Amino acid sequence: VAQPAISGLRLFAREFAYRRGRMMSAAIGLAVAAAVVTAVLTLYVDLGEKMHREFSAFGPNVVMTAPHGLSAADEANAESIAGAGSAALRSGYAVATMPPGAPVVVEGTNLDAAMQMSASWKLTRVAASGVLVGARAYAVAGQASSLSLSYGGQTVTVPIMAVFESGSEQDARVLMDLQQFVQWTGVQPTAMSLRVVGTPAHANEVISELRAQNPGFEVRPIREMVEGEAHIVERTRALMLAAVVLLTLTVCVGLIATLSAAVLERRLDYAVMKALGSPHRQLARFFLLEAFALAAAGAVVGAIAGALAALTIGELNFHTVVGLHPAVWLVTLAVNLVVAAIAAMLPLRALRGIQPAALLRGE
Amino acid sequence: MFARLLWESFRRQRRRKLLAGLGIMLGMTAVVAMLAIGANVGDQLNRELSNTYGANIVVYPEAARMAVNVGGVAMPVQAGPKRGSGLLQESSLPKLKQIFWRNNIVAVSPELSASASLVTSDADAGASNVPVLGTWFHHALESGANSITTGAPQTHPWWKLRGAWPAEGQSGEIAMGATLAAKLGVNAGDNVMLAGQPARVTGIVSTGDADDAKVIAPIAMAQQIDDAPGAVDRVLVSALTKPEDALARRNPETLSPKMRDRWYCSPYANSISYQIGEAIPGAHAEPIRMIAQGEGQILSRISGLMWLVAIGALLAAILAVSAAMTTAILERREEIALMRSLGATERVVFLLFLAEAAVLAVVASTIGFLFGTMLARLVGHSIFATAVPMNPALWPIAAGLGLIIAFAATLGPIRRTLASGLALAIRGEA
Repeated sequence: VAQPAISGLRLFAREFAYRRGRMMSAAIGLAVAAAVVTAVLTLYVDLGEKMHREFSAFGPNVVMTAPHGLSAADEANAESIAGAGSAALRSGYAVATMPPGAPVVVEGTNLDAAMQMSASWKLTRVAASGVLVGARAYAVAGQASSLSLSYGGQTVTVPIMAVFESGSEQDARVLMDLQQFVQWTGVQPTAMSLRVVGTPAHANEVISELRAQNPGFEVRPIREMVEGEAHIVERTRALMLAAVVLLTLTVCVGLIATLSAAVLERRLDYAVMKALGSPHRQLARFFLLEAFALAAAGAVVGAIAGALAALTIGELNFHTVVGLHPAVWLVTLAVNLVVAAIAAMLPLRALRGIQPAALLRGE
Repeated sequence: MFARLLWESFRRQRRRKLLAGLGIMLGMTAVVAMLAIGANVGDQLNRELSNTYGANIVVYPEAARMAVNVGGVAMPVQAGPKRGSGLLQESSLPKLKQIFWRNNIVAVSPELSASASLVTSDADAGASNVPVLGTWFHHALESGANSITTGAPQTHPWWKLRGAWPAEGQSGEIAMGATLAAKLGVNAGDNVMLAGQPARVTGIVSTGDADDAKVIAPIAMAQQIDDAPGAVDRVLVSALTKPEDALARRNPETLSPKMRDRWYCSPYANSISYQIGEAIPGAHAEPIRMIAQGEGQILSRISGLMWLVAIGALLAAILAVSAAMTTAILERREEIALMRSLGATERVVFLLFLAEAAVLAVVASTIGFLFGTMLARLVGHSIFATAVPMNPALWPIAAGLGLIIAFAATLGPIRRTLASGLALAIRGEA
């Protein structure tokens, strides 16, 4: 017996025309789920990138020391190895004395770069130029407007540009312009702080490269900074994944209810089709086609809405633009199709159990 | 009669009700779990940041000489004032757990630097003068109900230990920095002579900084070596803090009494530091700004992100639940039409269906609240290794939300069915 020629797409189009409300409600559920999955996964992929900027508030994450001195070329080389957005800062140290004869560490460095790298400092401006003085050193110096510093028999008097509070050992230091420091003390910079922007793996690659290029230098990560970033980003990503799983589960149940109702509502139609000779496999195919079509439509609309949501959240929360990732859209489509397939399982069983004769007799 | 109708509806349509109830229950499970996680994520992340970056407040003696250190290593200078004068006292540290924000102080470790001669079992190597860092390892900081067991492992979570931490007090046990241990050929379990006293090296510590070249000993041992009983150079404190805002940066002395109270009663790193300074005589506490501000920035970004994600998930869950409910009502259009044709007024139909929806919503939301709480606990445990506490305030939220969704999803289809004509509804064409 020849199979009746029934077009699945035509059936779907008719179904959509007659039961628009139900189809729309299922499609909206799937679209919202797809939107949230797309938004969360887009942010998930970009999270590391977006968080680097936030983690840079912790200051430098790599320290390099060279007993025989570090040149401007070493600084430029380190910056170029570390990559875009990274910053290097050379420092030289000398123990000088300041009134009333107290020993104080004077650090020669690039003052503007130091203030930029240590954005967490609390700065109190005093004058337009001069030295930066740590709060503890400033208290010992009697809160003067200038400092007389002596080193190796040479005394310089320098105005205080600003007082800073860092909560670290730097609070007991005086920071002086590197060129002036070298001129005064003859001491060359021997340490370099480096802020490497990127993943912890990238920071470790930079460290390896610096070690390979400068065998005489000691290069080490500031461990808590490098490891901490990876740890926190990993935890946040796990939370976001948990949200995606929870959401998918919920949408799956909503869809099971909708599809089950579709089978219940159309059981007479299915009974007639079965009575006319349609095999169960064909009916199941029609039913799955409907579920997958809804899932695909929901995924397309949801992916667009989700990408827009991710852009908005990126702008609101991180104040930067989040990148769009086509791979995420494919994942969203796959998630929607899997959800539709899982949600269709229970109704498919009900479909298999339909007895045309009993149903058509009104039982 | 009405109650009987309601009862019969649940009794005869068990499968349909179960499916609709399951939809609400699972939706509410997701909602409650997301809300519980969202409400708790700030605290959890705060603890995580504290466990990752360690101390965020440092306490110095007010009158201490200036440290002449570079990278944690003392620079050679002429002799300073005698040790012990103007230092903090270890006995005053329990006061840290008596300040207003005492519960936010999660770890404390005092430090005292000294130097001592060290002789290893290698007789040919002779004695070397090594820096000693005295601290706590598992010290019981007791202050009534607010006691904690704390020490350097908590304030320096990035330290990696091979072996075991030394016992507290004059135990004759020490740990050794990895660089120093490698230089002297010392392993965990070896015996050495430190400052003329026998000591057992219980562990080798890799700190990743200048402390790698030090002996890390119980503070009592460092105090004995330095002849400074009870003295402490500085104290590192790890506190759960709130991200800094404009108020946090204000000087409390310049604030009005009301604003000062607000500043004082907010867990800013600045206000906790201020309270520590008040509690410990001769102490000056200040935030380690790099850590405190970095943590604050990360905390506000991630909390903000998680709230936005939670709101998105909430919206999706509400839509999924309402789709399930709408479907359940749409299925019953013929039943509605039949009731009307048998003489039931529109009011009775509305009341019956809304009563059904209310029962279903409250029961399913309550179960959803319980499952959601369990799910949040599970997620909290697997991600942060601490449980998200049960939040009873979420039950009325879940029940209320369930009711609103169920009512909203019920009213529309009933109105449409009643408006579309009975015959069409009975034929299933409405």
